[in-house]
Amino acid sequence: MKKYFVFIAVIAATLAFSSCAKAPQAEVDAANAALEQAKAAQADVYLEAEYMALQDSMNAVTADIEAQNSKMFGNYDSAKEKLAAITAQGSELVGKTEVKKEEVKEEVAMVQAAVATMMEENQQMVEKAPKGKEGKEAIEAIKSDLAAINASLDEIPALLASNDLMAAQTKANAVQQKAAEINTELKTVLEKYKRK
Amino acid sequence: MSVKRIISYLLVVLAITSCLFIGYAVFKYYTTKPPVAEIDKARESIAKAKSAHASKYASERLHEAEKLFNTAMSEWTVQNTRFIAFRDFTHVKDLAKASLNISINAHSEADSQKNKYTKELELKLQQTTSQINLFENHYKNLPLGRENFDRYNKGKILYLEALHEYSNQNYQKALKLIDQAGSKLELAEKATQSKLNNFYEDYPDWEKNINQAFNLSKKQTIVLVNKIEATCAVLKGGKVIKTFDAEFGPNWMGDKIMKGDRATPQGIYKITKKKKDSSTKYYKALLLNYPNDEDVARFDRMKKNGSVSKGAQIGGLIEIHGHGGKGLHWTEGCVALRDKEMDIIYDMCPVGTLVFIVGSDKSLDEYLNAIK
Repeated sequence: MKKYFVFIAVIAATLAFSSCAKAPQAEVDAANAALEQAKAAQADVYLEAEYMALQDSMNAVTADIEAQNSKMFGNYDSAKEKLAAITAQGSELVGKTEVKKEEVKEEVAMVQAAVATMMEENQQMVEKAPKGKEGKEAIEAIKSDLAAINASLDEIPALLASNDLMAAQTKANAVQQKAAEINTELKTVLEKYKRK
Repeated sequence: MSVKRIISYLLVVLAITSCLFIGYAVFKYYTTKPPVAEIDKARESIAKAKSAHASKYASERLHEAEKLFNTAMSEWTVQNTRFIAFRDFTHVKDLAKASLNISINAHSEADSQKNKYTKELELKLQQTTSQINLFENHYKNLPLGRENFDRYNKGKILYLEALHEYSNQNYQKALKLIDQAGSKLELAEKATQSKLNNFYEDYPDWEKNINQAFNLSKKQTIVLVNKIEATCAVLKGGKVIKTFDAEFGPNWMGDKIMKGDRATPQGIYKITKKKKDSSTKYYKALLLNYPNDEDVARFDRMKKNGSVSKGAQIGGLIEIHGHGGKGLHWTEGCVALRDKEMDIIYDMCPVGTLVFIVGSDKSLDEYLNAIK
């Protein structure tokens, strides 16, 4: 009789233990929080490939945890390691994104400064351009160029303020190219003018 | 039968039932495979679709695939909470398979959309580049007015932004920008063409004058100024023997009406005086008889009908003079040549030489076809 009881007790205990195995929820939450932070830092915009890879790793670990949950004796050691790595990579990604954003901001600031210098030079060249009878009006096109550049340049701070750094970068690069073209054009005109 | 015996039988039955149940559970455990492979395939496929920028180019389909994947994962979690004998992963597998199929479609849709966008974008970039080149090389030198230049310049900056986005493979943004650029440039181009149409209204007269100039040049030296080509040619023996670059007043597109309009007159004039040394500040000059009778008659007509103000003056002192070669139209309405070329024309043209000033020697269609 006792043997039956022992046998049933062993089976019951086995079943009980098999359903008691718990997923590493705290680690899952930490990894998810790290991913959320990375997204909040706009890693999906500035480091899209790295963010997507991390998101996929998270999906893979979640699947691995469920796979372990499906087993009678789940082993979460590997999942825990991976989750810890994701949490660390998520935090790292936040830092990297901030660095990237700073780089973009610095690049935009550098381009803005370069354009401002070029525009100053352009303005000085416009002042030197033919005056009076010798045709200030003839550089109407160039003045319009300068006005368009200034207008675009003025849009950049608003884009930076709204954290639309990529659009600011695009605009800054376009404006720089245009300012450089005008600079060359003005230099050519003045050179010809000097030669008479 | 004693109670003890009954209990003993019941325990035996219970033990056998338990054994059978456990056996069933173990059987189910080993025969019911969890959806690991299906889920992995779906996950990998979603990741691939995302790498192919499905979030940009096939967002709805990708979203659907992700939703199904998440539902599959939730369903898997639900099944895992059940006792192993009662777990059923069929639905999870179906959901994962559906997610896989849709993410594959999202991937291919993204590729095809990206391809479509790229082709459309490349075509538009090509068209806009042509528009820009046309403007830069030909229209930009026309006196188009500030508003038109502003349109062009805004369009050009948007075009440069589009190029930047294109190089960064942001095709959707690039398309939006190139469309904006295109509409600005189109407006500028339309206004330019309308200005050219107005300018070319006088083409029949120019054509007549050019024929006359060539005929007369068989017997005498003739000067032929072509505004749109910015040239000043000397004709002799019925052909062109010299051609020089010429610069005019900034509002050269159109006839000179009055003093201060900074336009260069169009018509047939005569050299009335040759100037050099201290008599001109432009190296050497050939004074023309502007206004001629036709100019005076038109000016009077316009004054009468109110097209020009009562206080307006017709102006004068239109010359072919030196100090040219600046690369822009800068005079008050005169024709400026380089000094060394002024020497040549000065020596070749005596007082009385006829000077034909025309807008163009080609019709508008010929001109546009030539520049395109």
